[in-house]
Amino acid sequence: MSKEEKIHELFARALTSEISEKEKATLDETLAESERLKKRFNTLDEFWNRCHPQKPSHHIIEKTDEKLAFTYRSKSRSFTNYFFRIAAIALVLISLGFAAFHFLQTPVQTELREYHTKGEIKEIELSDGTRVWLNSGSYLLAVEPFDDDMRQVRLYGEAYFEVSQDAGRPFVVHSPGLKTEVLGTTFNINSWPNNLLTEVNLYEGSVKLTPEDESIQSVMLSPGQRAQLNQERRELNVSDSDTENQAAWRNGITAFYNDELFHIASALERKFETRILVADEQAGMLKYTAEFSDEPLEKILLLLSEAKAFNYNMTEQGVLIRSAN
Amino acid sequence: MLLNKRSIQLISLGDQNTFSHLMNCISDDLFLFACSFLQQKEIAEEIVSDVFVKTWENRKELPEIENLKAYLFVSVKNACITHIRKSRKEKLVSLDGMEYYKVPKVESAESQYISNETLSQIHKAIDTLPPKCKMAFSLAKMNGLSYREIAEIMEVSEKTVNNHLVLAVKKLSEILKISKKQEKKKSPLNQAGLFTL
Repeated sequence: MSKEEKIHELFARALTSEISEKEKATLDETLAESERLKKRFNTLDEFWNRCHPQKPSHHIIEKTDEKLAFTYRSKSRSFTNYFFRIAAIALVLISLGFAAFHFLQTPVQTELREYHTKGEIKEIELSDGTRVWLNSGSYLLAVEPFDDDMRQVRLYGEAYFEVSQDAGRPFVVHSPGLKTEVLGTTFNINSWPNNLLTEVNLYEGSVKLTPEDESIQSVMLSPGQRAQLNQERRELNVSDSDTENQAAWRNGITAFYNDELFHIASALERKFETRILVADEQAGMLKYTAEFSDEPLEKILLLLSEAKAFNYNMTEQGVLIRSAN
Repeated sequence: MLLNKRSIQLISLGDQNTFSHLMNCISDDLFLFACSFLQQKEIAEEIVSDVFVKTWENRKELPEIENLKAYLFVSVKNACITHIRKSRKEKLVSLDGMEYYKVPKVESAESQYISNETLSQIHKAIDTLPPKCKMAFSLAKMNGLSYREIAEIMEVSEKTVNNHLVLAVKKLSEILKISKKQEKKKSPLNQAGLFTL
């Protein structure tokens, strides 16, 4: 086999993920030596992984169901997430308290604004020019106009912030268990009521995170970092963030970046409005990096379990995930 | 693995839900594959649906099958070739019917990655590949199948699959080499460079 063919064989194996550790090392070495080959491989990689055929729509499943006279679809699949119901009730109470608090404190005519999304993503502009993208099923509360010395909002759910510059007035996001304090920056907060993990991704500027639990130290984040607060494990961890995919959910993409299956399961629970239970830690701690747009839940679970093995069962009541052995 | 042993067992015992789960997982891929043979969506739909119906009717045999995914692809392939044979009575169709296989065109989700020009050059290069090479390439790229699965579907060795893919990647790589050179020629900076020499 000629040297050129050998390189193309490595290319093909790398693109199809058939490459062995040893071959990968050889490929990396070769690419490091030649800028020209590296460029070519990168283009091939982009073609392979970023360019896809249009997803054809079809009615194969409906047709087959009809031919086989399947009956499973006739049962209703309605599901209400009672966590959210409780959260919504709690919110009304909290927001009333929040409003009363501010009403008593400030003589200026202020107004409590409640932004709420359901099944859609909303783009909001606050009175100070800060832009917020609110993910489906989230609540954002703000008393506007903001105070002279501080801009405060309260978030339940997930939002991406582009905070307008105002050095004299820090912008503070209160989310369950965590206070995020910023100047002019761009960041994403993921903090769902039924989720023990609160995540902050910082893209520009700097933010200071102060957990409500005083036994956890507060941290400063730099751009390209993310912090994950686990209130159960009482941990606030800082790691690298996925800077290429800034809050991809704004474009309808569900992206995971080195995330635990526990976290992924609750994101999928919200997206598909079905119960997903991870039965043990061994499975729950598996980490994945992946991107999905409109794949059905079945396919997402299949792809994840193919990447790193776990067992799962889908029933009318939801999904049960267990470790592979 | 497309389905674990337990799920296949459930299907063989007549569990409609698990079978529907199987269809949800694989129908897009099988449909794309059938469309590549037939270029007629309605017929491709019908063929894949019939393969599912037959699979369900023979569900008792499923636990015997080693790789369900490859089995379904082979079934679709055979059904497509049978259809091509029937619909072209007057003409001779080769045993494998590969000459009718067309690799689906792709789109760049965000043009920042690959320009439409490069993409159309890639499509042209794919068109020049030999038929079997096209199919191996398409199964790897469009359906994300492993060498082993492709080998099973095409009834060839893994080594042959490897050779097909090396050829395909080589052709694409050559196209990129040429187009990069052309870009350089066009660049005014390079032309200016001639004068400074």
